[in-house]
Amino acid sequence: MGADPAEDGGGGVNPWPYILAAYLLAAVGLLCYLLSVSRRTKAMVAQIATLRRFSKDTMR
Amino acid sequence: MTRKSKLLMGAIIVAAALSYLIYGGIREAAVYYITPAELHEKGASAADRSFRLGGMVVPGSVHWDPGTLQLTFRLTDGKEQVAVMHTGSPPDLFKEGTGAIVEGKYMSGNLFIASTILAKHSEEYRPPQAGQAQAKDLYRTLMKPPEERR
Amino acid sequence: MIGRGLERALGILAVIGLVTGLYTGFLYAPPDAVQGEVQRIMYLHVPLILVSYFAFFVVFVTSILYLARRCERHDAIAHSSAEIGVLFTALAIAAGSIWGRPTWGTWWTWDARLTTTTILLLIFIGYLMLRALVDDPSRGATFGAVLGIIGFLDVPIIHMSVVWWRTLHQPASVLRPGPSTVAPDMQVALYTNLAAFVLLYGYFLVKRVRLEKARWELIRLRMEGAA
Repeated sequence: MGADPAEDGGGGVNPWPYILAAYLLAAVGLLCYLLSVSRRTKAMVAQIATLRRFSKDTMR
Repeated sequence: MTRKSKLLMGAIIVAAALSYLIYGGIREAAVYYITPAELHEKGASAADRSFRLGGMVVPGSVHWDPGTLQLTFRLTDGKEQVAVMHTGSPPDLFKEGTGAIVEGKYMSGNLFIASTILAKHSEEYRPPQAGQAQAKDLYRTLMKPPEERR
Repeated sequence: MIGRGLERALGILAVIGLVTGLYTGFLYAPPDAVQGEVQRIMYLHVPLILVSYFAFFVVFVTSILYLARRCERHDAIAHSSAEIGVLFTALAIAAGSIWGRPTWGTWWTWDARLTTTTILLLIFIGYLMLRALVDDPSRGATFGAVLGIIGFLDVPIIHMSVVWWRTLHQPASVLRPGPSTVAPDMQVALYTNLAAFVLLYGYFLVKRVRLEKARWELIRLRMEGAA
């Protein structure tokens, strides 16, 4: 008679899929955020440059 | 304008979810589970109603039939005991002498039919005892009843 | 302006820290006696949530400073830190959920710890939406500061939730009174990863504040152009 269910089959879920999923998800999330900040900064800087050029042109 | 209205809709959904969680969620979470003694106090009014019941799995009370997947055990809070029946395999950390929380219906005759079994674990983290287990066969050894370990 | 040198140094240190953290978490630290290998998710989950608490603490302090002095710099840090805090909280919840499935036996449950943490995430998602909705920078900053201060007050409630209420979540292993409940070898892995994530937070914050300053510059130029 099994005192513990896991002894008679089913016992011990493989932990690695869970560990890898957690770490990979975090890695992807952090990298995506880093890319998003860089992308947004680049877009801002480009807009600033355009505006500066434009204001110089109109001043002339 | 469309970006703004989308944002506004999102903000309203977030605000609604927040108020629901703050008013309803916290009240429900405050009584996350009841103990066997509290269940017994309810007496006959508890019969046929759904609860979340928490306690320690009484050592020696676990019976498991791998053929029918029938699991029975008793939960205790040190004062009272409740017999629990469940169909299906419980989480790996479910063991005699540790905490468990079950969700389901209380029947008459001090029997609880659980649809879900949750294993509670402590905040203590330590390596396996020397010679107890290597990482590889850790799982098998862990699954032995408490008396056989150590 | 904070130098590019600091940003680069923080980035390099964070990468070194994260690699060391992976080494200590997966190779140096032993598996747990009760949970086995899956306990290694703790070295990700706990640093993520602790750093998110810290990020919201930074929001709290800089929001108070903003209301007291009306200095744009403080608002830039508050806004940036809130965004990073939302990211870290969301990832901590995801990692915790993945950890919960093989240990507790469920991805999710509405106990007090999980409920109050979800509330924290929603408050600061609301904060970011509010900031995006309000066009006037100084009004947005004032509303944000008030919400940021109130929102942070949920952090001590989360921390105490496992003491005040019955939960499925276990009590705190760090930031607790009394001796540590974590074995020394595991503490090495835990604190290495915590340090790495603090450095990563610093790197993200410097980068994000730079974006915020570029945004002001753009607003200023547009206003000059319109005038």
